[in-house]
Amino acid sequence: MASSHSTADAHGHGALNRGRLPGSEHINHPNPGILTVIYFALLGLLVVTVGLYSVDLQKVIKFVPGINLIVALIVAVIKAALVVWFFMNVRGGTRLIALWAFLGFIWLLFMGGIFMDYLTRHWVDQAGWQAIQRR
Amino acid sequence: MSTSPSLRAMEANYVPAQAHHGAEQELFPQFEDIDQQNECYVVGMWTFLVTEIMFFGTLFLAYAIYRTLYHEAYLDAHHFLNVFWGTLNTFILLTSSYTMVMAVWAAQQAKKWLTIAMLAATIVCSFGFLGIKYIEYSTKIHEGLFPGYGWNYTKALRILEEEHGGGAKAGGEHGTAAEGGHGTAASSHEGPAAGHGAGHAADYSEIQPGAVTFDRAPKEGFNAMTGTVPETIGAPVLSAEATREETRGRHARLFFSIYFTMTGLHGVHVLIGILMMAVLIVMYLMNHKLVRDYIPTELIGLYWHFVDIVWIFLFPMMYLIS
Repeated sequence: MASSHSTADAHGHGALNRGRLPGSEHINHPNPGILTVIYFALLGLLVVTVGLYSVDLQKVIKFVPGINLIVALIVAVIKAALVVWFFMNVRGGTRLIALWAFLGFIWLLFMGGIFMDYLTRHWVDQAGWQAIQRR
Repeated sequence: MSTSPSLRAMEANYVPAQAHHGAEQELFPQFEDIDQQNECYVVGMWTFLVTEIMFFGTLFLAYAIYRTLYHEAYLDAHHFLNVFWGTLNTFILLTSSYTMVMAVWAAQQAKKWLTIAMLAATIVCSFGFLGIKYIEYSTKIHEGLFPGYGWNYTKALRILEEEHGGGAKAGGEHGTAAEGGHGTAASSHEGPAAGHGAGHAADYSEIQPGAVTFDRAPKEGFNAMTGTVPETIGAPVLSAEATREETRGRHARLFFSIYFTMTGLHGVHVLIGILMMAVLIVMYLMNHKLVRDYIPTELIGLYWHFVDIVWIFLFPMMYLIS
C-alpha cells in the first residue's frame, strides 16, 4: 500500500519511485560473447543436419522406424530453441514474453492434433477409376 | 491539491528517461516505467509472431500429412532440390541472424555506425539468399517442375537422369521412380548423355508432358486387371506402369506445390525484412528520433530471427528427405 507521502494511487500507479514495480520486470540483454558462441553452435548443428542426410541411422538403430527423420527434427528443434532463447532474447526477457513465445508453439501442437484427422481419410481406389480419369 | 497524484506522476513521466545501456529511451505517458514499456513492445511483436507461427504452421502440417501419405513420391521429388544450394542458404541465413543480433546489441549500446554496418551486412546476406533462391527457382521452372502450365515431370526426370546423374540414385536407391518408364530411355541415351556431360546442356524442349512409352505389361495385383479394362469404358487404358507413373507425377506435383508455396512465402518474408532493415538504416542515417531508442531494431530483429527459424525447419524437410 502507498504510504501517506507517496504520489502513487491505491493501485500503485504513478509511483515516482522508479524501482521495480510489481509486474514490470527488467529485460536483460545478452553480450556479444554468448551470441557468438551460439552462432557457432548453430553452424555446428547445421553440419550435423547435413551429415545426417548421408548417414542411415536405421542400420544402427533398428527398433525405431524413421529414426533419421526423428533425429533431424530434434536437431532442427534444438536449433530453433537456441535462436528463440538467445537470439530472440527470451532468456533475458520477462515471464510474459516467455509465455507468449511458448504459447505460439503450443497452439501449433493443438492445430497439429486437429490436422491428424486427415490421415484417416484416404483416397479410395475404385475399379476403372484410372480409365475414367483419362477421358 | 490542484492536480491529482496520478496526473502529477504523468508529468513526471515526461522527464527524460534514464539511460538504458547507453541507448536513449523516451518513456511514453501510458507506461509506468521503461521496463513496462519495453515489455509491452516486445510482447506486441511476439503476438504478431504467434500469428506467423500459425500461418507457416498450417503449411508445415499440410506438408507433414502429404509426406506421410505419399512418402515414396516425396523421396523421389526431393532429388530435384540441390542440397549444396540449400546448405549454403541455411549458412547465409544463420549468418544474417548473427549480424542482426549484433545490430541489436550495437543499437542497445548506442553505437550508431556499428548498427548501420551490421544492418547492412544483414541486407547483403538476405540478397545472397534471394539470389540463390532465384538460381534454384529458374532451374526448376526450366526443368518443368513448376506446378503450373509448364509442369512436365517426364522432362524433369529425364534431365535428372542424364545431366545430374541423380536418376540412378532416385531409381536405384528407392526402387521404382525412374525404373519403369525411363529405364529403357536412359540406357538408349547413354551415348549422348556422356557426350554433353562436359559441354552444353541438351535440348529437352521436345519432351512432352506425360509422353512416356512403356514396354512392360502389368503382371500382378489390381493394376494387372486395369490393364485389360473392357473397351466398354471407351477410354484409352494405360498400362499399370503408366498409371503408377502418372500417379507418382501427381504426387510429385503436390510436393512442388508445397515447396513453391512455402519457400515463396518465406522469400516474401525475406523481402519484407530487407525493406524494413533498409528503412531502419535510413532512419539511423537521418538521426531519426525513433531510433534513439533501440526498440525498433530489436523488434525487426525478432521478425528476422523468426524468418530464420522457418528456414531452419524448411531446409531439412524439403532438401534432406531420407
